[in-house]
Amino acid sequence: MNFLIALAPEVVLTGVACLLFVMAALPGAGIRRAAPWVTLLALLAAGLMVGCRMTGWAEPEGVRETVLLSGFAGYIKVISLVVGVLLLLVNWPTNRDGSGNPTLSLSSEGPEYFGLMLLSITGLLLVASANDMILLFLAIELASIPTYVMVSISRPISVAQEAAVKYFFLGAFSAALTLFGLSFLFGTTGSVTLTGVANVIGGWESMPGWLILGGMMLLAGLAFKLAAFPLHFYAPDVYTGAATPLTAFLSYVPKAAGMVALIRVLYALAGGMPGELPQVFVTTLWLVAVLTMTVGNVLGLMQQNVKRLMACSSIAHSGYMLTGVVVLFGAASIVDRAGGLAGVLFYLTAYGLTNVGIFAVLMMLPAKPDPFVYDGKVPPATTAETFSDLAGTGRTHVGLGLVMAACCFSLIGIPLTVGFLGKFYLLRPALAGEFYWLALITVVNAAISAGYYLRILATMFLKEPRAAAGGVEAAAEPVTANLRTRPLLISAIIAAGLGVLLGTYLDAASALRTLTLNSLDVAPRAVDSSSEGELVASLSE
Amino acid sequence: MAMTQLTLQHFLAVGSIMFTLGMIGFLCRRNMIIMFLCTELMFQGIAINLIAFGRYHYASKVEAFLASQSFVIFLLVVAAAEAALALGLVVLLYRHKQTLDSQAWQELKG
Repeated sequence: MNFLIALAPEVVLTGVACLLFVMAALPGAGIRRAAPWVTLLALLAAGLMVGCRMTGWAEPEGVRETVLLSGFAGYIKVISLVVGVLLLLVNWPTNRDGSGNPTLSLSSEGPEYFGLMLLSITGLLLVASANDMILLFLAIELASIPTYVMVSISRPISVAQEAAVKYFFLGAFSAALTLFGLSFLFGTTGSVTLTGVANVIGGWESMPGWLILGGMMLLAGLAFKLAAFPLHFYAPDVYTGAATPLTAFLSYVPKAAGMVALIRVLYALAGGMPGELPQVFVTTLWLVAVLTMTVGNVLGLMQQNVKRLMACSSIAHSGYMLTGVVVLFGAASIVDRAGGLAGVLFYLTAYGLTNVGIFAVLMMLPAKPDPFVYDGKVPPATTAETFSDLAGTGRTHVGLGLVMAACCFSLIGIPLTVGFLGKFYLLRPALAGEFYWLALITVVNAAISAGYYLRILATMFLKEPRAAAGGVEAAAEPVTANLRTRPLLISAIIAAGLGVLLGTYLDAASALRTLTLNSLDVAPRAVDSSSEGELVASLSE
Repeated sequence: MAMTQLTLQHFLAVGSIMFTLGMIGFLCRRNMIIMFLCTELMFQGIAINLIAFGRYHYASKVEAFLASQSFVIFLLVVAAAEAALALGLVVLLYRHKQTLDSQAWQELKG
């Protein structure tokens, strides 16, 4: 019973997901139109419960062995639900019969799609709470498995199914890698809770080779979820194959789940003391971070399709976030480590908001029919996907162009945007912790990324609009902007508003530091309380 | 002497060999059903590892013994869910091109 209370938000989300699956069996457009509203209510209810938990609901007794509910988990849950609502708005079926929107073609599978979306978000919330390896593994899989189905049903064309199969096979492969690592983590310590693992490892002089091998497997498996270096190559294909609003979902929810799981597991591997993670892991993380951002940005420079480009950008942003993880586990002083963690958490929020903004704009820009033919049927209209689709749209749709400009500047990290603060919070602890090369490479990469983000803007504002440039071909294409889709506008406005709020809240990093580091208490031990005092003292200076 | 007794290492060796074979098969084969069966092989190798570790800890920690078995049960559940999904997705693809060759699907490139 205590577990049901502790996991009330997740229980509600899962229950509503089941309800949606039942609704999907009923005929009628009314049911399909009601589905997103039910989903929205569920997300809001879960958000309310998480909010109550963070502001005063007592934690039920006897659950700490399995689930942690405090600061870190609470923060992740809040941002997941906020971004989850935005992603729901982007996916909102605005067609009259509730069968999808101009970019998303669900036919009669709408309620199932939103049920799967809720399950995936539930997985992310559970990853944030999990203090037990079984629960952690199940939560990661719960966040991922629904997305494979969503990719497959998001567009009735064969590329979507090809993308789903690619995504699924690599997902199953990476799940096996993760599980192999977890099996060694369990086997060498004899404990299935992360607290137990951390306590056992904390008592060791050095780490056995088996566990290092297992830990590396674990890193490789989670790298898939993050779209980080060795397992990043699927991202461009899958993101192109999926419908645009789903691409926004894919580039946030599984990535956040992977990042949270990575921090939790490494915390246990370090014996509950982030500074004591074996050097070989820190070095590997350093290499993965650098390679991920460099590969992502270099690939990004070569793309012609904006969705592929956003996939590369999402790879690169995983790399930036990993620098925070390196600092969390590699820096000497606890203040820098806390700063690294705060940087990652802030960046997750900043990236989530900006990313939704970009995809919302892409969906609102003029669309042309899908280039991929499927079974001889006329494919539905789709979003602006290639650079030639974008040409001149900034001049014909000034508002959208300006929002796109703001989002691109934020992803580059130009001052006065939330993305700049994100990079700043990542780099400041990296410099203080003497990771000079890492910081330098991050800055150089941000400069490289400007190359392709600015190319989007240049295409939108400097090129001739397609109709004006027009041959016969251009004139034949139906050009319709989805400007009147209210959910898209609302999500873009919320994303921009929250982005501005966060961008002006300059104390975010120190607030996050005090909130999160101590609540990562996978292994609350006596040593931690002294360093806690040290942290609070140094922060109040 | 030692060869007549099965120790933890023997079981781990079997589990790891199954895992590695599955990994090699996944990376080398092109038939989508075989690729999927290779991931199943990887999962079963892990299950052997987990059970062996659980039995190894039986003397000192009974809860680890039980935990390993519940871990394996959940692992099998996830593997079964993935099997259902894999067959559905592969059948969908097979209906389009009448082939199970993963190289036949190359529309997404760039």
